[in-house]
Amino acid sequence: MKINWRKWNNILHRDLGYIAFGLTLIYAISGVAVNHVADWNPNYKVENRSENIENVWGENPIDEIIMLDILSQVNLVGPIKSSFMPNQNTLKLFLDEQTLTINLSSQMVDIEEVKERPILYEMNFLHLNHPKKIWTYMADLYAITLALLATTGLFVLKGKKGIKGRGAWLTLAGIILPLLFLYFYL
Amino acid sequence: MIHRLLVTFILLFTFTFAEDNQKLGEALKFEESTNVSTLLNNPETYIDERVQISGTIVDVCAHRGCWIEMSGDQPFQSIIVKVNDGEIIFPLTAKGYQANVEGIFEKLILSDEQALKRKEMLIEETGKSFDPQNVQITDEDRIIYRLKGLGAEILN
Repeated sequence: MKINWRKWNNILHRDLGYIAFGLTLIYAISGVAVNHVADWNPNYKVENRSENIENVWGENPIDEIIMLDILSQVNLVGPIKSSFMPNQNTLKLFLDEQTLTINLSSQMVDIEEVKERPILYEMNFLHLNHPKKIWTYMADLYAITLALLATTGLFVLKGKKGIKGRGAWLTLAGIILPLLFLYFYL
Repeated sequence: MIHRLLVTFILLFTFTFAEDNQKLGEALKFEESTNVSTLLNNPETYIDERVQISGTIVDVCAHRGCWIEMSGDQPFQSIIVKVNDGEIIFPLTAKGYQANVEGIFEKLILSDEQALKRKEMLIEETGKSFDPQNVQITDEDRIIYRLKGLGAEILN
């Protein structure tokens, strides 16, 4: 009995395509996001603002009541995670989503608010393999799936539009493109 | 059957991700930390040695999460922990959390130009004005001590 290998190739290609759809979208969107890391932060949205406050600290800014008073002046509430003075003139207060940098002489407060970018943060978390552990093997499986998709994709069609015709030229172009970049950049 | 598989998968996920502390990079080797002041007061003893420090994360690289600044045990004291890009990515939300960090203690020697820029930044942070004509660069200004980070545990 002759095995119809093309039929099984196409079934494999189709079903792997369905399985890989979700992760491919995640990797593609996150890929674009992290590719431009020099221009923006793909994980966090950072907002900065400055406000003037009254001097309520006198000689002793490291006092919880005074710190809470500073917070209330800029319409924020605790809890304060921690504080730090990088020098005698600067006090930093760390809240859950905000960092306050207080210039004790000019009484200016710089407020930095950091929020995770919804959905994109989770996509990058998976794409950059931050979970490690089992996810490492999941990502390996996905990589193997992609390799199988690419290979079975070559043999889906027969005839002029298949790998013996147009497909051969397009496949060759796809191989030459990275080689060209390597030639010029390496 | 599918129900059982689903429950197993959820339990597996729970055990995989349910951690109080966030571990980054290599596992920590030491049980005790060295004070930042001990490192900075006796730098030559520790250069190229692996050490662990503990403190508050007071700043994080906003672009790539490739460095953090850790507070020291003395007032106004801190030290930079630099990691190779991509090997460890410190989350921007780590600011204000306590952390234990291990790495190789290293000494960097700055050029006069780099030392002047650094001095300008440090002087301006204190609220004073910087006049390059009245600033002299000393050997101390040219030297930076930092940790090349290998592993970290952020205590949530």
